Formats: sequence, structure tokens, C-alpha cells
Amino acid sequence: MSESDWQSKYVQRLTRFTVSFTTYRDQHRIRVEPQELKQVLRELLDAGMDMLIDITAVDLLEYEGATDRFEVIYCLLNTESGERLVVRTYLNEPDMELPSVTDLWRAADWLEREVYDMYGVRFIGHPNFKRLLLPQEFASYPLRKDYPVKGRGERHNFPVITRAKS
Amino acid sequence: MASKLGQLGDSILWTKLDAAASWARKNSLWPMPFATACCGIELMATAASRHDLSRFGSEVMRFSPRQCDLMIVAGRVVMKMLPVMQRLWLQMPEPKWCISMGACACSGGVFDTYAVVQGVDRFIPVDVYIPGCPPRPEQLIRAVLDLQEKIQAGGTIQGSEFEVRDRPEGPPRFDPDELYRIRVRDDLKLKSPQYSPKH
Amino acid sequence: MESRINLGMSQRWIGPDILTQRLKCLRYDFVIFFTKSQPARGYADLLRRVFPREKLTYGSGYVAEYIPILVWLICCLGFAAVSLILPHLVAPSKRTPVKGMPYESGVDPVEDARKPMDIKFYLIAILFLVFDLELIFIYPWAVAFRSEGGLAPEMRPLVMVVLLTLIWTLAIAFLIAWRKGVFEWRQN
Repeated sequence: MSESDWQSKYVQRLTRFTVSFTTYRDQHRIRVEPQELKQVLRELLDAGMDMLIDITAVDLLEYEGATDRFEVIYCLLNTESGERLVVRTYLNEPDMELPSVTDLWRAADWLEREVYDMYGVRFIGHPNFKRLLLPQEFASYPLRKDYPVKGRGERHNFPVITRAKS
Repeated sequence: MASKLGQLGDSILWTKLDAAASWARKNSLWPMPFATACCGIELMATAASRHDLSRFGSEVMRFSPRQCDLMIVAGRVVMKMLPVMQRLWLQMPEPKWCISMGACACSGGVFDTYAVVQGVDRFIPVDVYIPGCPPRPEQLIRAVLDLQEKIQAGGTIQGSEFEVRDRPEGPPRFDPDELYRIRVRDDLKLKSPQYSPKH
Repeated sequence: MESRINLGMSQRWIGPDILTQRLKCLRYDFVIFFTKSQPARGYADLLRRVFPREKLTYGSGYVAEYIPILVWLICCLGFAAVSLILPHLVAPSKRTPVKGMPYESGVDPVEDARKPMDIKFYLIAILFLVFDLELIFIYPWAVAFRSEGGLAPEMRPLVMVVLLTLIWTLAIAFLIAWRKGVFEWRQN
């Protein structure tokens, strides 16, 4: 599929949103404002992007040339034509909220919980929003760059069992 | 009952009974394979035909703690798995022993991250440590033999040798640098996680 | 008349009333078992006085040959009993609440294990059992039908009618169950 087809199929549907479209080594990326993320994703779903491959995030703390702190990435796939699209949105510390897309793709359920688990992005409208991998009592978000690799003592915060007591 | 019998002291009858009980126990160690990582593969190889742990009476791997008296922690234990391991250890009937198999179970190994417990001996009592990444099956057999020696040397029929082990035996729960990071956490006003495993 | 008490497996009873002899045999077996010992010998003497017509030989009954097995049995049961009871008396034991928890691989138990099961499983089990029991009749019939020393030729038609009645009855019951939808697993 040529570039113009691609443009007409997906990008032209998004003209009413403030999106920026880039291509790098045949990978198509769209940058979206977080307020318009849900509408853009719904539009892309209607345009044929029927499979959600992944939701992940990047902490851009101290990253060269970065203006925002967090980048949340949605990888989409059109299962009929095989086209892939990466939708990226940017978040900053005080308001770490995004709309949940579990009503568009059920696959987003655990993916959003994982992103919350590791980066602390809260997804509004998720049916069962809690930590996925870490214990529910865990207080911080370990994949943030300002979190120490060895943790803040969470790994050893357990009672010690002696032999006489066990 | 046990304390009353303990007052009987070192009469010949009781030392003979201790020796007989220890002999019976050491030759029928039933392992509970707490295999969480690649050491578990070596544990399986140890029980398989080439190395054949059953030559030493401990081939009966039971996957229920109720039937075991030897816990083999094989592999790294993460923070979320630790309450499970402690509960399984507590569910094993007396008398019981623990082998910490491999570098990860002994010290966390190369996984010095926020999630991996740096040595299970910080939280449960360990009798025999096995170094290696992963240890060879011969090393596990050596550990079982060492444990048999330990049981025969100090075992008593009413388990009074366990009663004196009333202090934590591993390293302190938090390392010094970890205590520093906990202070940083408290300054950051992060609420400290409150785990409440039901034991 | 005088009859002999059995002295071995090979000797056959010859007597007018085999059933009575059998019963006495059982009783004397019991006595002969213990005739090596003096009190039992006295009891056997008493029995001989009560039943004077039987000839009783001491200590030579075939049951006496099983005394080593009795010793072995007592040793086994004694070992098992000692190994079960002794640990309860002397071995360390700590009963804690966590030991009494249901075991679900160390995590918190989530549901009750006793759930109601679908009635269809029981119906299938009963239907299987019916045909399983039918096999008990069919197999010996098939073996003995034409074989030498099997069913008498004049009995063959009768047995055939009886068994075919059984099979057809069960087959009709099976068909009725089928039509009633016992085997329909999916609810429409």
C-alpha cells in the first residue's frame, strides 16, 4: 500500500483532531493529545484497526530533548490488511489520567492495569482497575526512572520466621 | 509433652531413641520442591534416573506441604512469592528442614532488584545452602547428605534442637543501603507498603 | 460311625452328612490351630469328650502350618501400630491455624470446594452402570453358550430368550433416555 492510500485511509479521518503524523523506517506513528485520545482511537477502530497489540509507556525523565515526562503508546493492527499503527500520547506528573479503551478492545484490560502498575497512569472507566503484577499494597511505581532499582525496602518488608516459632 | 520429655535428659534410653528417630528421619526425607526458576530443572534432574536421589531416601517429591519434611527452595523468590513460601513452610509438619538451593535462593544472585528477595534465609530458617547458578545435581545430593549428617548428629526425637533456634539466622532483614532508601522513601512521604500475609 | 478329622488338604471327606462334617471341620480347625499349647490341648480334650465319635489328632492339622504367617501378620500390624502411635507420643507436633488452612498452593483459598454438580453427570453414570451390569450376564453367557460342558443344549433357547429380553428392555430404556434429552449437554 502506498503512502497516499495510507494517508487517505487513516490520517484523513483524523483531520478534526490535533494529531501529528510521522513515519520512520516504514513505521507509522501518530501523536495525539491525551484529551482526544479516546476519540482518535475509536476513529481508528472504525477505520479498520481492529486489534490492540500492546499498551506500554516510557518514562522520559532526563531524556535528551524530551518535553514531557511520560509517553503512553498504543500499538494497533489491522488484521485484514496487516497495517500497523503506533499511537502515542504524552502525560505529565500532576494529571496522570487517560480514558480507558477497554470498551473498544477487551485486550486493553490487563495492559492498562500493567501500565498503571509500573508507571502510575490511571485509566478512567476501567472495569476492574487495580494492580496487576505487584501486590495491592505496593506504594510506588517501579518502572519510573526516579525509582531506585533496588527499591525502597518493599522487597524485604515481611515478618521473619524463626525456627522455634515455625 | 515435648518439654516434659526434655527434662528426662541424656539417659541412655532417650539418646538411643534420639539416634533411632534421627536415623529414620534422615533416610526418609520427603522434599517439597519449591522450584521457582532454573534450579528447579536441576532439582528434577536430581530426582531423575541418572542422579537418582532415591538412593538417599529422598525421592518422594510431594507437592503438598502436609506430607513433606524438607523444603528445597530452588530459584529466586520474589516479593509476591515470599508470603506463599512462608505459608508453605509454616504448613509443613514438624520436624522439618530447609535447603536453599542456588545463588538466587541464597543471596538473590544477580537479581538485585526491587522485587527479588535477597536470600530466603532472611525470612525462613535455612539448614543447608547450595552455591551455584544453577548447582549441579551432585551438589544437591551432597547437600542432602550433609543434611542427613546434621540430622544424625543433633537430632532428638522430640525436636528439642529446634526449640533453641529462636533467633533469626540469616542476615538482617534490611541492608544498610536499603535502610537509607527507606529513609528517603519516608522523606518523600510515600506511605510504606503494609503487607499483611495471613500466617 | 466313626469319621476322621481332616489331616490335610488332599484328603476328601467321606461321610453321610457332608455339611455337618464341614461345620465340625471348621470348629476343629480352630482347635487344632492351638493344639501345640497346653490349655488349648485341654480344650480339645473337652471337645473330644463332647464329640466322642470323631478321632482328633493333635498338632498335625494343616492350619498349624500357617502359624509363621500369623507371626508375620502380628509383626506387621505391631510395627504399623507402633509407628503410628509412638510419634503421637514423642515426636514434635505444633498445631497452628495456618497448618489447618485449606491448601491451595499457598495462596488464600477463594471458593468453597463443595459445589453442586450438574445432574447430567449422575444420569450418565447410571446409564453406564446399567450396561456395565448387563455385561456381567452377557459375558458368561457368551463363554458358556456353545462350549464343551457349558450350557445344556435344551437350556439354550430359554437362556437366549431371557437374556434378549434383558438386553431389549435396557435398550428401550436407553432410547427413551436419549429421546428425553439426557445426552443433550448444551442448553438451547
